[in-house]
Amino acid sequence: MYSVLQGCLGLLFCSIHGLLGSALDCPDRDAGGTRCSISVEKLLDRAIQHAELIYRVSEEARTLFEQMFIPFSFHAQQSHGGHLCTSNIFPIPTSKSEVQQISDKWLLHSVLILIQFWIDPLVELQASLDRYDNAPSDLLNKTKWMSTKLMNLEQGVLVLIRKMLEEGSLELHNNESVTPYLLPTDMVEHVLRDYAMLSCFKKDAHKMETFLKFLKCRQTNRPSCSIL
Amino acid sequence: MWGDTTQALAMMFLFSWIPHYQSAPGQPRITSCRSPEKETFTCWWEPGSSEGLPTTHRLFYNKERSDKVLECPDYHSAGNNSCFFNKAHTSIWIIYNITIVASNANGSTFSEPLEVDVMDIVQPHPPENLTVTVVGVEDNPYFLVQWEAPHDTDTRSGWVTLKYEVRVKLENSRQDQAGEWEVYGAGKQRELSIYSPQPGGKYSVQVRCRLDQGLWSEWSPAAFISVPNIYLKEKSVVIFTATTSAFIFLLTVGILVIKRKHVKHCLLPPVPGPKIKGFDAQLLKAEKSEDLFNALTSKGFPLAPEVPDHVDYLVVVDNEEDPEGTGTKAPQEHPEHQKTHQHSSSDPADEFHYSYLSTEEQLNLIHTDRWKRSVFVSDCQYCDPETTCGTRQTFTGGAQTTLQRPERDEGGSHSTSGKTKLKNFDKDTVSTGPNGLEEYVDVTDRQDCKLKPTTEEEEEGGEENYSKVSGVYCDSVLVLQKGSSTPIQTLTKKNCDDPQKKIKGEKPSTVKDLSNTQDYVGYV
Repeated sequence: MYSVLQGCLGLLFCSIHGLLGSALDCPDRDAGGTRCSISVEKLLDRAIQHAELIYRVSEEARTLFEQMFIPFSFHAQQSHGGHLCTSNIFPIPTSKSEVQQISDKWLLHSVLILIQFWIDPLVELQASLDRYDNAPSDLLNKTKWMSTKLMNLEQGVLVLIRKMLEEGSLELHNNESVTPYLLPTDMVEHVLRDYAMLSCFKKDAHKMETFLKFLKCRQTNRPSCSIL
Repeated sequence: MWGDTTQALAMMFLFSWIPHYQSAPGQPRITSCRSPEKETFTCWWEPGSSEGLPTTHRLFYNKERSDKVLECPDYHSAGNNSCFFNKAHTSIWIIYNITIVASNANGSTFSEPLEVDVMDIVQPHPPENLTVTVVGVEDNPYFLVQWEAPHDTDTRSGWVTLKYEVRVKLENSRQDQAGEWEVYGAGKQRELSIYSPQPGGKYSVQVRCRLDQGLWSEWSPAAFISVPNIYLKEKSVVIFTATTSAFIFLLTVGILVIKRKHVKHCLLPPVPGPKIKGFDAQLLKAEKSEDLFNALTSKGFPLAPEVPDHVDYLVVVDNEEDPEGTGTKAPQEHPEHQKTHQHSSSDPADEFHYSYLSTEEQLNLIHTDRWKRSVFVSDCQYCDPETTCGTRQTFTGGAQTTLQRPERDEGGSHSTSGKTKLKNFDKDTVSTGPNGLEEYVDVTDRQDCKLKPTTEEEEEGGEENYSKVSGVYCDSVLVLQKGSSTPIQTLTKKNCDDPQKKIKGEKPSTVKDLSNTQDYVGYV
């Protein structure tokens, strides 16, 4: 009786959380054997929504930054930032055919790795932007929002891994090795560095979104998977 | 000194004459690179000045973190001055460094390098198979716009997410200038409903799409649709209804006008005039009061009963011996003297025979068979019950006699009668005999009411007092005298066989004798 009530409360809590769009977490409450159960499909949908939003906001932030701080002549020189983006931790697929060859497990893990890779740099970016004199508040809000959402997405992906793959969380603690790679030592100007970071983050956000969508469409057997 | 400058000038002049056809071609420029489905992409360039020499262009690229320089795999699929990268050669999330080299016999020229990431250059083809239909024609028509994704995009695996936009324009707007485009976002679905289109309007509809957050595609070819004009239909219905109603209304008004008298009679029925017999409304209109009153009075309107002055006597005859026989006999006795008119009473209750005698004075007497005691002269019906009118009781079964006076002016309608009472013949009173005449008045004098059933009584006063019996003939004839102060004369010993004769005979004598009195002879 009491456990059922707890289960219902848990369900309510989870659904409200989902509605507010905050944490993707649905921690399992093992009190009395009841679990907070949201279907894998819905979890995946929520994760995809998060990733889409993050990608959209990151693109907007990058555009804002570019308009404010980057002179026109630098637009062509994206390679500086582009080269720095990719991490060599694990090979990221670069085409659709490659992505199709990756299993669900690796897709999820890749997403998780990417998320965990960017949590700290985003915080640093936010701190760096705060130091600007004339940074637009919109930009600052966006970066702040992205940072928060990314952490929520991490939680959601962890749950997904737990549910879909039925394995424990696989946390990668190799941020120390990544971070120095990301930050170029020869980049003196903050602006360029921040711009590069925004560009790279946008790219990785797109990767996350794509992987999750791929995962979703593999789950469904419907002929058309365009409605996401 | 002068020689150096001339030398320099000559050198310059010489150099200027050297044709430039030997120089390298002009620098080409990459115009755009596009990927329609995130799996392949194409780059276009424009060549620089060719300098008259055949120039070849080659595209070289290298991917990030790789120093290997690769050449464009396909120069022809996308047309001139283009390079098409197929799926095998396309990598996403990787930056391509692309350079065009234009070379001719004299040399090569490098274009500015361009770094592209396939993710950033996505622009799909416009959506296909755009159809627009009008749904729900009756009350609320709306557009249903449907389309399909461009055929080369892969929506099945989730690789791309397409979002659509629809725009609608009214072609035949009232103003001369074309209408404005209305843009509607359709999200990820492949159909859209647009409500409340203008009836009778002609619209053109277009749709476009974009991949992820990339560039919008071109607008699809327009589809045209016309909305049926329900207002026209409604208008025609309204006009038809209005015309029919107006026609009916006019028809009704016309009929009413033509028959206005009839209508007036129907709606405002005329007040019925007074229905007084003998009352002629025309006379009233004529406003001749004399004629009016004459008309009223001529018909026997109350009052003024025609009482001949010479009617003095009341003759009462009794046929007691043989009720039926005498009843029949009585008139037979004197057939020659009188006109008898015999009526058999149809009244079953009584055995009365009605007959009347006509005297010279045209006195008609209708008498019935028997009567018990006496003759009652007065018509006590009109009297107060307090008066001496206990006569009623005796009437039952008794004799009832009715006197009737022939109306000279009228027909014999009054000859028949029902059972009525004796009446006073008075100038002032009216004969209320038959039912034909309305019973007016009766202003019978009280004096008459005081009459008592007496046979041989003395006078009681009153001028019209018939209580005085002036004579009794035999046993069956009674002569009543109209009351006066003169004493009663008794007549005795008359010849009973022919009482009538005697009466007649006597009459003159009585008249002679009694100038003032009036005697009535009644057959008892």
